[in-house]
Amino acid sequence: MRGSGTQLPLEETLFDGVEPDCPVRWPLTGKLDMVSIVPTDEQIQEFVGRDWADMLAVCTLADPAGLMHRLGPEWDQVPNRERTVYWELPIMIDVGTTSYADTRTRCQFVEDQVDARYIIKVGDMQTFQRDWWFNFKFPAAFPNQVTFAGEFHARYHVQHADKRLNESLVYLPLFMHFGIKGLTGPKLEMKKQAMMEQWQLLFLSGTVMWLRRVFVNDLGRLEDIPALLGHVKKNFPVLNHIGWAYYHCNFIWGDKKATRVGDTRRLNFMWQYSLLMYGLTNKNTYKKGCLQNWLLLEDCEDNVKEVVDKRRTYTETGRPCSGGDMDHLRERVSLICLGNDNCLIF
Amino acid sequence: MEFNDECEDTRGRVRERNDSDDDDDDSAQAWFNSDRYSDYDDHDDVMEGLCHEARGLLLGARDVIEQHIEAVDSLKETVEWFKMPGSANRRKDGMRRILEDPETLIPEGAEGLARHLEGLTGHSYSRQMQAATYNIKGRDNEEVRKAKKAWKKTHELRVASIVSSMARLTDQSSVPPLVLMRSIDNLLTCTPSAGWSRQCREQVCLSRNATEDYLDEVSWWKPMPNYSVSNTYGFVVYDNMEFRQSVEKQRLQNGQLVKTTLMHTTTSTCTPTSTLPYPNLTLT
Repeated sequence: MRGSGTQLPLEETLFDGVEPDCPVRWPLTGKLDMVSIVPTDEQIQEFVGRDWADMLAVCTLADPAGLMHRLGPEWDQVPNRERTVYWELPIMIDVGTTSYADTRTRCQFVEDQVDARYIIKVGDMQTFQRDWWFNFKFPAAFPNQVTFAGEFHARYHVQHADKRLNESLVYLPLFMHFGIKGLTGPKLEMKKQAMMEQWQLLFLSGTVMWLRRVFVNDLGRLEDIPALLGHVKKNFPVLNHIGWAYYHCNFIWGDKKATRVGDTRRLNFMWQYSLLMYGLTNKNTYKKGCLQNWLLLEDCEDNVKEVVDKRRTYTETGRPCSGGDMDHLRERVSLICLGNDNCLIF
Repeated sequence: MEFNDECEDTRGRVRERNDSDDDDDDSAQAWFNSDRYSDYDDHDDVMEGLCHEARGLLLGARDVIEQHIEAVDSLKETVEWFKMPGSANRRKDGMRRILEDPETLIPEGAEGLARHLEGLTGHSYSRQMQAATYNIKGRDNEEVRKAKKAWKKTHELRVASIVSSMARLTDQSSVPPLVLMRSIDNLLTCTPSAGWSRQCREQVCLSRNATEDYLDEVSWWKPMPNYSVSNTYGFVVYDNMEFRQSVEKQRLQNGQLVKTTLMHTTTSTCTPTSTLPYPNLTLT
């Protein structure tokens, strides 16, 4: 039975013994230039281009369903990955996440239950925002607690933003063509995340297969998609579809890959790029959340940075490339879903 | 029963015999040869038999624990580390007592066995089965009497074997995982009492009380990582916690509109207020 929170014991060695120097408020150092969250063209080309190259390596002609499979051990970036140990905290009744009174109760609960001087929390966007504003408005209440936003909810809203941006030109025609029901409309349904992700990756695989056949004699063209987009800029449907595959769907797959392999640098970039996706689709809560989480991720003291890097993902099995987003630890949405064709999505 | 150089302990594990086993074997043989199931009305005989059964279980448990003495040592370290009060360590305390002085546990074990026996023999299901089997109208009463006699002859032995297996079932370290999973599944899916008692009769799950006891005990247990845990930095994961909010439902009671407070949850059956681990939070 799930308790009202999950504690992950941290290694004693993560604390180097040096007390943090935080003039503003623990764990902030006050050195961050917030403009740095806006990704530069170079950053976009570096990360999205690398995702695309990885995606081409995985989704080959010999294995068109490569995106659906778990990545091999050679992809894993977490050395000596072991099963994550976590402890359930007791149950709280009649405490939610929608009010500051409840936030205070939760913070006091953590204070009572967790034996530590500094407490780092990770939560969904609602919990994160409540905690963030609580700390902002009442800085003296719990000065030893900080909350980070989890990547699972952020990834899912990127997925939804992608669907909103490309619904009319990409998704609706494909949904109608394949007779897919239940995924149209503006509503975000949490329980359909895995189903939507399956179709997205399927469409991406199909797009890559189509490109491989078009450029069968010149596969080098696929490695530089921005140049290819310039080449097809007068063919609007093709331009739109390749642009969607490269800048949106490929990015979504890259997020998932970064989580599975534990690529923390790429996960940090996710918040930068997600800001663009949220901005275009009026996801104001997540847009603010990006800025708040970016501040914490980049401006925190070194000990916290190391802790967050170490505990960015969790794994139930300890197998290579089996990482899950930390906030997914408490979700009831399956990471693994069996699709219509019994294809296992990693 | 043949006693060879190797004998099976109560868990079915083969272990080497030693000299101290002889005394146990002699008393066991004598007790086995005695007419111990002849009269269940004699409470002393029953308790003696159950004491013997409890002794067998405890000795078996002691063997297992001795084989895993290192694990127990680490468990003690764990207890020391958490500095838990004794009330939260009933199972660990029991394991320690099995190691140090198993005889003191025998009365408790016998009492539990007696409770199971009473539950089984006095259960309405047994009565119903007897009635359904032998009290059918139009049957030859003489034949029924014979059948009853034959049934009674084997019934007591059958009850004793059921008690023995039930005693092992309620030992959480020996309960089959599938049975445990089914029991927890029953608890979480709000299985009605009728369905639950049917499964208990089929011996495919623990009773509701035993399952709740199990969850109560294991909820205090934590898997320990293979590194020393920091007390400088703690790490906690949260999600929105709307699962365990209470809501008021309106209904009519004798023509009056009343409001009943219910738990708005689909993820846990019920949370007894008396066992809430976090104080100052009660259901209204």
